[in-house]
Amino acid sequence: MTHPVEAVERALEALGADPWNAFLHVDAEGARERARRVDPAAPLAGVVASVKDNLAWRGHPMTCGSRHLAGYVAPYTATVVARLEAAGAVILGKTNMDEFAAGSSGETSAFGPTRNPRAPDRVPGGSSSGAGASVAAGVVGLALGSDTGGSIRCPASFCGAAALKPTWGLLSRHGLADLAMSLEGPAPLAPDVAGVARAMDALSGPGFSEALEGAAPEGLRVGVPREFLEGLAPDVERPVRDALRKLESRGARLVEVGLPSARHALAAYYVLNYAELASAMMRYDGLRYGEPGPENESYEASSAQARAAFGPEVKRRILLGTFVTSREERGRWHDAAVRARAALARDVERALAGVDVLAGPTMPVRAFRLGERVDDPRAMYAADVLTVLANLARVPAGSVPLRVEGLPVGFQVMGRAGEDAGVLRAMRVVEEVAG
Amino acid sequence: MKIGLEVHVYLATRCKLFCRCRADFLASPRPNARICPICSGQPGAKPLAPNAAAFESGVRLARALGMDLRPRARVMRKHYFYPDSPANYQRTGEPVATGGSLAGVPLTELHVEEDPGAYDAEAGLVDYDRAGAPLVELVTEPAIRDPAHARRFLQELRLVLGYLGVHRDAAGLKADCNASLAGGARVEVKNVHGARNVERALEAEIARQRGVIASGGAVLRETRGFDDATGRTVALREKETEADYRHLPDPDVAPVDLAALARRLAPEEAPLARRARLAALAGVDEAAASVLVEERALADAFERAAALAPPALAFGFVARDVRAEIEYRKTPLTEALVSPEDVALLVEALGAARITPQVATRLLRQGFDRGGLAGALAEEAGRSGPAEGALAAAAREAMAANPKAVADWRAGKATAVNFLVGQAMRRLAGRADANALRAAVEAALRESD
Repeated sequence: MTHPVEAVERALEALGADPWNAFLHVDAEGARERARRVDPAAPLAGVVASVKDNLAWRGHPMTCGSRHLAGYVAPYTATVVARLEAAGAVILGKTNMDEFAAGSSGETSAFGPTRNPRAPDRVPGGSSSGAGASVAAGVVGLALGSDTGGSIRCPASFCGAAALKPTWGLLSRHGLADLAMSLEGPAPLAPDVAGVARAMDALSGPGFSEALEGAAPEGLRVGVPREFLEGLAPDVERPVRDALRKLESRGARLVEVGLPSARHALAAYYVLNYAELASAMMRYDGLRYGEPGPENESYEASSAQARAAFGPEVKRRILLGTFVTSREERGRWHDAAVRARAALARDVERALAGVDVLAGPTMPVRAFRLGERVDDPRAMYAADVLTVLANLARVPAGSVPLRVEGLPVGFQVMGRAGEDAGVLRAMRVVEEVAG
Repeated sequence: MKIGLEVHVYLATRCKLFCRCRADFLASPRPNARICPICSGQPGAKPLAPNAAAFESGVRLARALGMDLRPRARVMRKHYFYPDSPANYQRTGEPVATGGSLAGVPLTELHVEEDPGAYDAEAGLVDYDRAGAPLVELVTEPAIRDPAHARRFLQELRLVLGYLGVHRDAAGLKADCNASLAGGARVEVKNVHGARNVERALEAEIARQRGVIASGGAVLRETRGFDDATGRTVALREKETEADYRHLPDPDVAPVDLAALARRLAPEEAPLARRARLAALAGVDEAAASVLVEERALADAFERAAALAPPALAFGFVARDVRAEIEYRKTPLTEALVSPEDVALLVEALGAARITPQVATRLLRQGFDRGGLAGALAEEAGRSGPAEGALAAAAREAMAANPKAVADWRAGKATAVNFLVGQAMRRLAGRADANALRAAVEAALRESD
């Protein structure tokens, strides 16, 4: 174990001037101070961690990547952040993210995009862009992010890290700023599966690291949804099929399964995301946060001015979310999405019935160039097609990097609700066989 | 004329609806002294599971009003922009119950919701001490006959609430009053405090609408307020279209299992049914018997006393003497140093002429002042009660002589005990301690069961 004090110094050295724009807030002095007080016997002693800027950390800024929350200091600490600290991790600072987690590339942050440490002209993936970059750059050994529709798995895939989106509700969401409450939760990202498991031991409870012991491909039943292998970029499809073959040759049993309602997943996901985001954003009216309008103006005018400070993606989602839940439109949009979600959850359950896990790629493409998709929301949303399923079905899903040339490719593993340890175990197998 | 009410009742729970902050905002020492990240709507702060005590109060009130309970209630977000709201959505439960009636007014539904904060538009200041405090909203059908009927409805509601002990009495009742005349639109007079003001506001509003119609005008759909200084309603805002609150089930709150909650609650006699029963027992009309159900402890005191002494005597003593002490001290009987059993004992001694009315009054006051009423009474009578064996023997005799009361008790009618205690007491010539005798009767009943 590296001594916590030394680990913090190394992290600060690796961070330098943060050329990736991974952090929105670095608490160097505080980290040094906290490192001195870490119990060397604590399970995460020696681990330096980053926390996504949508998680509350008492006494520290919390912007959610939005101008609207510039200057806001959290008056309390998120349960998951408190657990990391209690386990001996030293938190270095808050990481960059898409504004209110509305984005898949890190580019909608009001404080500038994050760069991918593996290729600085590429996006690191989002919305937990700084989480992915802070680990990929070798600054921290653990990043705490969140996942609403792939927000931890996408950066893991694009940056070459391992990450888990746990079963919905397994980790406390207290202190995680709302985007789409029924879909999201805190999620850890680390250089490897063992690092993710150690984080889960601290965040949820013991048993995850233990589950990795003796992980082997023999007898593992892997369901491969045929829909997961459609429409992939060739430089993603090849390594994913390779990995599946390697698993099979090492004794895993591949089973082709179908997820017929998967074609509705993206539409259902975004309608629900908009609806819940529009509700969550109601509180940002300029009265408590943000820049209010001039004095003596009406509340309406003042809050309209404060809300004008949101970026275009957040505004788009507020407008669409208000529309799809309006009295006239909700039946056609919101309620239909709720039904589609239920059908999808049944599909996922059925697909998982005879197998241990489902597997496929995490993202249909490798990390794209900064600016390549940011002006085309539909192209941006399309990249989430493989990750949103797990959020809609509330099941655990992780991403583990494959051994490839060039930009990283993530391999996704999904499991039954509550079987997060089994997903991590399967991820460990993939890491060993094809990582 | 159509009149309907939406009544808001603050519930007397210890904590707010979704956090552990104290719900008693009236006792807050200064603005925003009783807030936390949850009830002040800080980014990311999640609600705790709904305060079960608040929903229990809702269920008990619904039962007392003869409403049909729903099996579960989701907690919805009601969205609207207003400075008093920490998150610009209000968490409001689906109906706990529907149907039922009170004072001849059919009820629409009853639900539990959180209060927003208090906004001082003049000063531009917001106080979140009451944000998240639990409320019950009771909605009536538009079937109230006239303003006086509305007042009677609220007085009866207050009686029921007092008996159940579920509301924060000092916070008062607030009602949104809807009134329309034939041919006119519905006008809502918002946030009127107290039964008397509701009557005044409705009288003023109906007079105003009559005036508009008489002068050839049209009554427009709008929301008005009531100025109790001038006794007039004043325009607040026109409400031409129904606001769209975009109700969504709150993803952060699991639905409340009302059926499970109702199963956990002990069954209880509805307060107004008890009033009817006690009125018959006392030989008075229901209006006179209302004082007995202002508080459950008063009804208990009367019923126990009526089992040991002539009911008319018991009624007079409880309705006059005991209530006078309560009024004088502004302390409900539940919180006083005198118990319903003490009152019964006193009435019993009075009925047996072992003490004079003057002594009874003095002993009662002493009891309210410093407790120990039973001991003081025994001393006054100058002797101690019969031995325990005598109590048990009297209990068995009373049971043997009254098989019907015993059968009633076995069939679940708990009040049959009162009758048997009275019969046993008579066998002891009224010399036993009522509490001890009651325990002896209950023990004998259980033994025989």
